[in-house]
Amino acid sequence: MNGDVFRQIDPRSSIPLYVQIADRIRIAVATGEMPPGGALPSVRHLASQLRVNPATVVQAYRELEEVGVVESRQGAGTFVRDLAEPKRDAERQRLARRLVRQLLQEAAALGVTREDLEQALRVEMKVKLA
Amino acid sequence: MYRQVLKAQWLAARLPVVLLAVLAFALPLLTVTSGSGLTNAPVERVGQWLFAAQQVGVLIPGLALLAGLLLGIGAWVPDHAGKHVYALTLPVPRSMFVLLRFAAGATLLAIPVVALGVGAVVATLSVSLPDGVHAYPLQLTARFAMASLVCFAIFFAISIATKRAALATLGVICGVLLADAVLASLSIKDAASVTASVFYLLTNWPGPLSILMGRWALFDV
Amino acid sequence: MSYAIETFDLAYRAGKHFEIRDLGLKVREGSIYGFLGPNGSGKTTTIRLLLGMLKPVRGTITVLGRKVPDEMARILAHTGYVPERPHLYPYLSLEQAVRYHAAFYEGFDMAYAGEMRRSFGLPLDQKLSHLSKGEMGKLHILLVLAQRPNLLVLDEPTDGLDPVVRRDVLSALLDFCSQGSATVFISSHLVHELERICDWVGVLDNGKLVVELPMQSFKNGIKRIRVSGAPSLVGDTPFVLLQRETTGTEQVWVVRGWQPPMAVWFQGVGAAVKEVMDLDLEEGFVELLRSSRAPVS
Repeated sequence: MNGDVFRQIDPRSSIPLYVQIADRIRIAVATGEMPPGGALPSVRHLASQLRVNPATVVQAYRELEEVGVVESRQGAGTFVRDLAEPKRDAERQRLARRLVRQLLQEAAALGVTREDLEQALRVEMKVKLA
Repeated sequence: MYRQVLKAQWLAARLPVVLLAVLAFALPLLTVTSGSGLTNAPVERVGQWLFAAQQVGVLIPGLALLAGLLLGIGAWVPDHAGKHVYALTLPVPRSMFVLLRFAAGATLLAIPVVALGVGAVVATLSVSLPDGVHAYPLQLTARFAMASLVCFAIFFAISIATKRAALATLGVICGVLLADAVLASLSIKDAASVTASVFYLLTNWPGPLSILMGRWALFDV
Repeated sequence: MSYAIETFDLAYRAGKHFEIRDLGLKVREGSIYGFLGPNGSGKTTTIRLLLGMLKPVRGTITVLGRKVPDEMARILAHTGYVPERPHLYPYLSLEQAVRYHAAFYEGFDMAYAGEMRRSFGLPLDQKLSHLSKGEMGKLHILLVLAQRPNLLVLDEPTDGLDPVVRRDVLSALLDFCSQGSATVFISSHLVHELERICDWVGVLDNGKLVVELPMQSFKNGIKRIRVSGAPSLVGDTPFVLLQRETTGTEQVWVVRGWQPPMAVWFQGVGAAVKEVMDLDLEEGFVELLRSSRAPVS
């Protein structure tokens, strides 16, 4: 599993660590980096790697299980659920909306107008597609 | 536990122990350096030789004192550096740990004792004694063992004491010497020396240092 | 709820000045408890009291369910202690030091010790006096973790270590914690480090326990609030007011125990909340100390 996924865990942020960890995993699942059926790192391994309290990792995994992204199998560990295509799409769309929300918030704070944004989007996306 | 404490103490005290052993082995041999041709020598000659042997013999209780000092103080030197924190936080009652250290120190003490014994036996075998003169290698060794153990115990106790107790001991010694100096300056006639009195107390039974006194001879009539 | 460490009305004095006063620690079993405080606040003294090295003037101490100092040897058999200053014997080699230590602990895991030694890259035959500070720090954590204790008492375990060594030490510690339900009591003034790993925090200042809270509550509960139109006199507040500063037409309040619905209180006194700012652990810690030393007017 790519260690970069968790690179920016920030204990100083007001977002609790377990939420940050769970989010990162959700992103990795949505992008396919963590494939369905794949195993999540053990609590022991992740806690040690991220240097966080193991209870934090447990909480993150529990949160993910509650929303149905992963499932824990007794004795074997925690695994990414084999979500059907529509569920994965929904997950990606959820992420996309969140990104846009952040963008809009930042733009508002900086005084960037909707028109500026649309213009920029067109330019950037054209570059991407080219 | 004992094994490891012994090992740790040995590693710290290797050099002094070996040095003491070498000295202990050599001393009895020194007493026979001038012992050739004694079998049918005249009495004065034998007397001279016995006297010379006793001169060297005086060094043996000195060695016992040295052995006790080095191993007794040395037993706690590693702990002093860390203010005894390591020993105090091990899951062993303090009294038990003290016992372990004492036992280890006493075990190491056996090395110079055995060395003395071997030296004494070798010395005894290397000289043909005239009539009426006997050798006492085993008695000498046993006496040396006891004396070193007593000295070891004394210095072990001093070493483990807190700084305050050690300073107090030093203070008492200074006090005794000072008292003598004062008495001397006052020129009181026939005043007994305080130092001499204390010395007398310590070195005569049941004083602890009495074991160091007396004749320490390998060869005697 | 069982506590790995519990003190009641603990006081200690060496000389005229009280170093520790009214200390009531409650460290839950299985938690990683961060003991925070500025230098000289009495953290090391507290630890020495907990381990029976000092005798308190007043109060009781219970560690792992047993009374200190009555059952000290039993307590120490299940406690791993890393002191502020290294106290191992410098003339021993690393291997000798490990074997010496192992002889005193029944459940010492030699295999685990060997594993850690290899992953830390510590040389077996190096004399302890020749080890670098970082290597010494790693050795200490190796020894106490290999004991497989129920309680770990760590006094500034990463102080003075470079960041790489700090990470290694913390990783090893957390790896051990995930294997079981050991309690960790870690004192440090390195706030950011504690922020990641502790689920409880106790703040000591000048010998007194200023606060003892779950880490999340502590972090979330302390906020800086920009207020306009605040009254000069303030009565009862639903939160704890730590500081108040006037900047121009507004005031900045630092509060503890904040919850969003409390904004209503401000409306009740004719004020308005302009902004609620989060404080990280370090800032919260600083504000808490400032207020405990100079109570708000």
